Amino acid sequence: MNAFLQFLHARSVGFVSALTGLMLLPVVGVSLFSHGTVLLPLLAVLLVSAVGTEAIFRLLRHQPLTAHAITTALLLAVLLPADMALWQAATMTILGVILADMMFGGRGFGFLNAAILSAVLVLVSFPGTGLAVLTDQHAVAAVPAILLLLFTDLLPWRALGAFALACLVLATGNPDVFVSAAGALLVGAVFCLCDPFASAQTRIGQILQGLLAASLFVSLGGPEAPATETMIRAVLLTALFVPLIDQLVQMIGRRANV
Amino acid sequence: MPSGPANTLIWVKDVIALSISVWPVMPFKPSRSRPVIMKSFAFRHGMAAPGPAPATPLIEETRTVSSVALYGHDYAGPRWKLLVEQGQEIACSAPVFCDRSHPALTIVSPCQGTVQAIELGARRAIERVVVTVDPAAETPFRKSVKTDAADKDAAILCEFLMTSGLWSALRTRPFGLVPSIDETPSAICVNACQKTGNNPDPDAMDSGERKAFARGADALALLVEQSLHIAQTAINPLYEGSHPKISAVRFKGAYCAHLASTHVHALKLSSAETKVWTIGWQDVLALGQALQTGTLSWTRKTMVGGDAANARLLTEAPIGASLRDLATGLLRKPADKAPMRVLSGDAIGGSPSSHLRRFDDCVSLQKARAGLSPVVNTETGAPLTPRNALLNALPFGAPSLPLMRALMTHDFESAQKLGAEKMVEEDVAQLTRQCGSGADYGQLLRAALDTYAGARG
Repeated sequence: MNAFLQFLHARSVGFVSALTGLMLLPVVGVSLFSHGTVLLPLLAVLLVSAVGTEAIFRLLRHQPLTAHAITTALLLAVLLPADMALWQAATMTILGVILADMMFGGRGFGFLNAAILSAVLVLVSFPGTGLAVLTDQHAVAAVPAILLLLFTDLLPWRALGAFALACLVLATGNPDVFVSAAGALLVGAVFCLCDPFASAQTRIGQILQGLLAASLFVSLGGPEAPATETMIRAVLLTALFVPLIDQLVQMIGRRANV
Repeated sequence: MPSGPANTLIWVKDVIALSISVWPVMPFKPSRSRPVIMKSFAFRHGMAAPGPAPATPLIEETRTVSSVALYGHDYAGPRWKLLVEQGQEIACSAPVFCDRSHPALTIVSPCQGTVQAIELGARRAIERVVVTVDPAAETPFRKSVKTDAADKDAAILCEFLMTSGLWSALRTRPFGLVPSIDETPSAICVNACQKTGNNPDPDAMDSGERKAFARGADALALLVEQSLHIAQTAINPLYEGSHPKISAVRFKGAYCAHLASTHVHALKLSSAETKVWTIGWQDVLALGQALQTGTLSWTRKTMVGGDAANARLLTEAPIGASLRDLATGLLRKPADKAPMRVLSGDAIGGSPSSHLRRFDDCVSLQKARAGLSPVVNTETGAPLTPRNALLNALPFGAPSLPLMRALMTHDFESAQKLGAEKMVEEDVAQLTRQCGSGADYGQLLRAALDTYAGARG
């Protein structure tokens, strides 16, 4: 009990991972419900490859073992199509975890989310493979996550708010991009765009991040393009620009302060 | 008991009679004849200043302090040379250590007694000197001083501050160092803010103390080139003199509004060329009282409280007083056997310690919440968890998260660009408290400040 309280109070990276993982469970549940048991082998492969990669790196570096990769695997289980070849999923997960997390020293030190990187690697490496279709049920299942992450002060709400507002404004001009995209938008925004470790570190930077993600979503998407893929591409591009945005905001802030 | 309209009438009559009889002696303060216009700053970002623990009675009593300690870390800047030995008898206001390059700059003992322990740290730097208070002494924390014309001439005042040991109350901005002998400040900022509900309130000074405070401020105004600012939370000015260089400024809002760095930054006093000094209100008061009466006192108003205390204690304690002596009997018995800790300083910026630190005027008894005590080890490699509260933690519009990352990775050049130069340890204390990584940003910032000061020469 005491250890658990300590864990909650510490507000450590482990707490963020566990909370996000917990909040992902309803979303994974919706996927399981719609696909049936076909998803189970994929989920198992994702868990083993992600956690295994992290464990091997930790062991080689003589560091205590952690299980942040469980969250990565759960998010990937939502994003990847259920009928995907298992070896493809495994290799891309391993690559994503290494490139986004372990290369920087573990979860929390890098600037990208491993699950998003893995999903984009799947899209790039195996043309013809799409991502899972996220339905309105997924969107509903993501709502508790918004509330709990807001309550624990971990959700960069400026980014989420700016993204939502920009989407509302842009939807009036390009209504066909947003057709049946609620699931992809909400799951993508909460779990991918608003990953606290991959978000901007300044207040204005977070707002710019949300705006950029929304405009990228509109410009990358089209009436034919699947919403999940568009969203994931937009989020990864945004995440790549976030450090630059932060630098820019800090530079302008310094000029204004002097 | 009879009830009804008649009874109610009697009750109303009683109340009216009581009110009329009390009216002439009611504490009625007439509004000031001239309106007081004070510059005012409000800071809403950052951690809120903790109020006094609710439902704890305030008691005032004297406590017997058995030992005091001087911490080397409280006097950053000069390289100190030890002047006493263990077991040596020492008088009140006798030098304990002095600057190697300027022996006139000394840190003095706040009490009469015996040197009990001397602890040296890395490179033989002084960590702590503990002095046992002489129980036979009548006034162990007071000393009569010669103050002839010290508040008429700047050079004599400097000499007085040096010989009396009050010089150690001053700090420079930037860097938070003990000022060197030969520098002249362009401005001095007196911090007369009540940081939290558990600090002694400067507004509670009586008229005699206000006169002494004004005299001390007038004297300090001799040292400045341009201005002396009194930063306060009270609505009415604490300074009741009329020196042309002195102005009162009001600061209100979050915890950071009551820190000296915030005052210096908000008043735009510090720049690359100018030097600003800061001093606390109790030291100004002590200076004024010394000038008035010829007796220098090393006791300061000190408040003991916190969420694990069963009462708030307001007492006069010497600088560096033993926390055990101050906090005895105040710790509430914990129901759940949760570990407690005693901090020198307020609940946000305080540090676990055995004695009061130089600039702390309160003792906080806290429940030791798991995970919130800083671990001074950045080698374990826990990453920083970005929470929204951290985004707003610093007052200057300085971005906290990039600054924390820069300090953690010892990237002092980036930290300087992010405004680290304007801060001292107390400014980043709330970052240490809120961050889950266990890094002590105060220590990291001090390392950075040493680098900047070294580069400045």
